This record gives sequence, structure tokens and C-alpha cells, in this order.
Amino acid sequence: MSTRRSRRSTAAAILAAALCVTSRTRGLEAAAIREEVFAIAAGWNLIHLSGDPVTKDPRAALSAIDWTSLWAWVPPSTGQSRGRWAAIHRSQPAFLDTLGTLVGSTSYALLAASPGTLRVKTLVVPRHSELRGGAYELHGPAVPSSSPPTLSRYFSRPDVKDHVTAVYELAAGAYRRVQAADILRAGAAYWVLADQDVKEPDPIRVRTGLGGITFDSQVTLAEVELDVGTSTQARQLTVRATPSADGQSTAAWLRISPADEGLPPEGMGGGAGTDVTIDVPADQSRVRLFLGAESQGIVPAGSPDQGVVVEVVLPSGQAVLGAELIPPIRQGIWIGDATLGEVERAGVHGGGFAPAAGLTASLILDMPATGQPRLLPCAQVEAQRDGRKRTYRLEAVLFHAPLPLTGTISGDGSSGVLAGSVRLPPDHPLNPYRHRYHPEHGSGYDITRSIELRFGESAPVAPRIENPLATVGVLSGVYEEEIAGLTPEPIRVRGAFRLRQTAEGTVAPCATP
Amino acid sequence: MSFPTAVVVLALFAELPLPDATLYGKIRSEGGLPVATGALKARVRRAQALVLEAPGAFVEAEGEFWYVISIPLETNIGAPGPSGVGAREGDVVDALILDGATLQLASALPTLAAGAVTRVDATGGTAGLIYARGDCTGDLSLNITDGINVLNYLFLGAATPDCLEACDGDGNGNLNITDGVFILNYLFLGGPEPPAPGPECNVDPEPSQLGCELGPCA
Repeated sequence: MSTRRSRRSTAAAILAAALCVTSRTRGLEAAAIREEVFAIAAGWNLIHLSGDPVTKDPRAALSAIDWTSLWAWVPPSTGQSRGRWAAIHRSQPAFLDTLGTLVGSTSYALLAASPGTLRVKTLVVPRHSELRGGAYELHGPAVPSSSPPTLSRYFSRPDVKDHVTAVYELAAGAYRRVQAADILRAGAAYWVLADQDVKEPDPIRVRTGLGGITFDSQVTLAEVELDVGTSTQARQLTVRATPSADGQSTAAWLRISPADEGLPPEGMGGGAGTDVTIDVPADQSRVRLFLGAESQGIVPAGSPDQGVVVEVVLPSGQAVLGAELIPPIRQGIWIGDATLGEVERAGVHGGGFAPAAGLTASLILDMPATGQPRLLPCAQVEAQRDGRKRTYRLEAVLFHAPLPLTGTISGDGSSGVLAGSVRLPPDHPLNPYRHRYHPEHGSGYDITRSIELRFGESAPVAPRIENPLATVGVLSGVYEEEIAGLTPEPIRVRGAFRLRQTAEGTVAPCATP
Repeated sequence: MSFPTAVVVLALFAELPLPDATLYGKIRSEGGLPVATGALKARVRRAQALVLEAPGAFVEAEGEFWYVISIPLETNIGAPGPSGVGAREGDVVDALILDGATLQLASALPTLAAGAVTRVDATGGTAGLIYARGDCTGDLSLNITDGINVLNYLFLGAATPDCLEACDGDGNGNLNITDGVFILNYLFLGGPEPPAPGPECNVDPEPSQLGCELGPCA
């Protein structure tokens, strides 16, 4: 696969990211789903749900374990001395229930009759981690399951550590005060008492604009700023993109790199599931990351947006982001034309492309959900005219039969190559040698047409003037064809092409004879 | 109101919250009628000392009236903090009190435990006024004769209905011509439904002074 990306398209992506990332308000909660797993002991358990559960009904969400009741602590509001519990019971009258739905970024006390494993699929949502001073809060620290930090390391920020006065955990069925050197547990909730309000107690603070990260045909790059606090030691930051637990994500569409190193190079980060480690010097408290999205292949029509869960892990804690990709290129038929305005005939003028009288030829590109893309010789277009449905036939005269193409195209259409070839044997009706000498002449020359559609490449002819933002549902690039066998040296022609996606269900390939 | 010593001590040694202990059940009057109103509380003691009195509430569910009392609990591990208002596991509820009178219990009250839910039915208190608003004739059916009965009583000297509260169709505490009109409006002109306890037999949460003999609902 060729992954050439022009400087122009990269610069446009940066500009688009700068303009759009901060203004988007949707996205974080859209598609990044992860599975949170809790080992449940018989008796009481304190757990913290980081994300917003896909199944909000507590009875349905807890159906896999032998639970008795689930409790959520509602902190005291202004003027109240004590918070209150909201609860749902498994085997008690429904009028005793005061907990209606499960909510993300919330801690719960779960009473179970027997041990089990609770798995909850959750949407990644912005983390709410504020501690209110003066009363105990049931708080879930964001710690990774691998190498979780100690209590003192987690609450290590100067504006946090001085105000967290007591932390208790539930261990072996009893409350126990957590000491500074004790290791925190991922997914567990703790009773935390602060002597004043602490806005952001987490060791990693993430700035991603208003809504989070959403990639589409306009935004292929996003910048995330992490506030990792100061430290006397150098640290290693690990960033990992995990495919969304809903199974809708294709792997390897997210690339990650430190912003200081420039744009994400091709292939860096390896995509979903691969760690990227970044060294953070002792005196550095802020880290900027570029996240780049590039969907692979053609997405079936009507398929949902894709998501990944981006985990940022420091030795002192963890932050989780959701990233959503709205696939800009979906399956269907794309119609447009190529303006072939350059010709290279090595045997005539010594090589190199020279301008020629432009030939505009129709192109019909079929992008199936599965299988190979192909260039079609014709398509049937359905339209309404005078109140009646009419069917029109659209021809692409360069091709006499469907031409299968190989190669791939990036999700945003800014790079990739599709190529195919047509061989006309000497006796083929469209091979000019067959007619040039004698209809019954048995020998001649093979004519081979090698066709290449290079997406995203700058057109060698002046681009059309149009709204630069109107690029959703548009594919453009360079069409190049080499005709071998017609002359001693191959003839090459090329020109810009531009294709538009047709409305779903309005265009179909013609019946192949 | 003076707090017992035990409460003052708890305030100094505040604790972590524990899930509430819950009491619920039905309360019936001596006559066997459901009780659905009144100031209800559960009295919690530790040894002989009063710890707290947890207020209760009445709810209507599954076609019946229930009381529910949530008793706040906290740990006894000496955790620092500002709470100190909850009972502890092991404390006992020694009485359910309704409007100042102790209720007779059908079963023993439990020792408190976090998250425990216990049903304890009780007897005592005053039964709520049960009737169907608008059913002025007391025949358990709301129809045109109810509206006419209101007007007959008010203007034609008909016998006093057994349950004047039921004849107060608009539930404003006064009996007058608008009650008969209200009932007829509801029946035939799509007017609003009679307010609580409504057109079906139910407990009046706020009875007026009109009075109501025991009717067919009871």
C-alpha cells in the first residue's frame, strides 16, 4: 500500500484540527466503549464505574452476579450535614428502590451473596473527580491495573496532598485506613475526606477542548495537552489506544506521537493496542500529544462510527479518553470524470509529460463493502422526473467491462492508490491490430492498459475553484494510464480526476453481459 | 430539645457512612384498617441510651399503604470526620412510634446491620379516612345519582349522606353546589378527576372537617 500524503493535505489537516477540535461539542461519549471488570467478593464491595454504562438498568447490568443490593452515595448538598444513599434491592419490594439507573464516573457499594466477576461495558465519558471538602466522599481514583501507584504518589500534587486528610478502603469485609505507602487498586472506590474542596485530585489532567476527540474527513489530527504535575524524577508516560469493546473499531487507525516531535510519522504508534512511551523530564509538567486518525478501507453503508479508548498512564495514575472516528468514505458508487490533459510518448518527444488537448472521460467507481473496488463501464441512475421514476444509463467509455482494482485508500481519501489493468489480446474486438491488417489475421500485439488512481495527489492541471470545505463525499487525485503494445514505447496519459459519492440506492451497476 | 450524651460523643468521633438499614411494613389500626398518615419514627438505642429517632414515610404501592424508615448507619472504627449522626451496626430499634404512641409489633425489631431490609408490620394509630371522592351515595359506584345526591342534600332536604367528605367533589373542604356540578362535569363533560383520594376507594391524605362515617370502602 502506498501511503503518500502531500504536504498540502497534512497542513490542511493541522489547520482543520486547530479550527475544529476546540469547537466540537460531541464525540467523547459517542463510540469509545470499554469493558470494566470487577472481581466481586461475597459481602460488601466498593467499586468505581469510570465510564457511563451502556446498560443503565442496574438489574440488567448486575444480572451475571449474585447480588443483593447496590448503593450509591449522594454527597451532602449545601446546607446539609450528611449525604444520603440511593439503593436498589434485588429481592425486595420495588417501592424501596431509590436508585433508578447506573451512572458513569460514580462509585457504588455492592452487596453480593457470593463471589463473581462483574463486567460492565461503558462509554468513555469525561471524568468527574472533584472532592468536596468537609465530608466523606466515595471516590474512585483513576489508577491502571498494571503497576498501580501508592496513595501518596496518586495524591502527590501540592494542591491535593495537603488537603486529603483521610482515605479508607474496604478490605476483607472491613474498613481500613489507607496508609501513604499502600498501593491503590484499579476499579476500587475509597472513602476520601478532604478538608477543603479539591477541584482536580487526579495526577493526570487532560485538556482536549470542549467535547473530546472526534475525527472525520475534516479533522484527522488532534492535539491533547496533559498536565502531569511536577516531579523530582524523570517519568515515562505510556499512551495506548485500545479498540472499542463494541467490536466496531478497525485496529490501527490511531497514531500517536509527542507534539514536540512534530506530526505523527507514518506508522508511528502502530495503531490500536500498541504502547507509545514518552519520556517526561523531571522539570516538565505538561506534555502535548498528537493523535492522528486514518481509517482503513471502505466502511459499509450505515455502519456506526468507530471508537477507540485512549489510555494515558503515568506511574502515578491514569487518564482515559474516548476518540471517535466518523468514517468519511462509505461503500457505494462514486461518479465523476478524469480530465486527461498530459501525454508522454517517449518515442516521439523524448520522454516527460507534455500538455495535450484535454480529454474528459467519465469514471464510475464502485466501492463494495467487501471485495475489490472496480471501475464500471456503466451505471444505472434512478431519478424522479415529472413525478415519475426514470432510469438513466451513464457510460464510462474508457472501459468495456468492469475493471477490478487492487490497493487501498485511506479513510479520509487523502492518500492511497487503486490500480488495475486491462489486457486486450490481438483478437480482441477492441484491439486495433485486429482490424488494421485483416479481420482474420491471427497474430498481432497484446495491448495492455495499466490504470492507476492516486488519491489525494495534487492534480497536474489547475484545480477547479469551489468551496474548499465541500470535500465531504468527494474523492480526487490523479488518473494515470499506461498503454503498452500500441506503439514500440508505451504511451502514458494522465490527468486529474474527481468523484462524488452518489446517494445510497440511487445508482446501480448495469447488468454485465 | 436536649440530646442524650451518646449523641454528643458520636459527634466528636465521627465515622464513615454505612448503607442504611431499612424497615418497612404495613400499619393497621385496632379496627384492622390501613394507617397511611401520621408522624412515624423508629427509635434506635444503644444499650439504654437513645441514639437517634429516624423518621419514616408512607407510600402507596401494590395497591396498599406501606411505611418505610431508612436508618442512617455509620462505622465504629474511630474514623475522623464531621458526620456523627448515624446509628451503628448492632444498635437496636426498640420502638416504632406513630403520632407519639408506640405501635404494637407483629414481629421483633431487628438489630441494625448495613444494608439490611426488614419487614415489620404493626398495629396502632388512627386509620386513615378511606372513601371514594364523589361517591356521595356510598354505593361504590360513581354515577349521576352521586351528583344529584349532593344537590338533593344541599337544596331539597334529603338525608345527610354517611360520608360528607365523599360528597365534597372538588375536595376544597366545603360542601356547596359546585361539588355536585364538579361530579357531573367529571362524569359527562370530561372535567377534571376528583382530587385525592380520587374516584376509587383510597385514603384521604388530608381530610377536612366534613366528616365521614365508616363507609363501604372500609
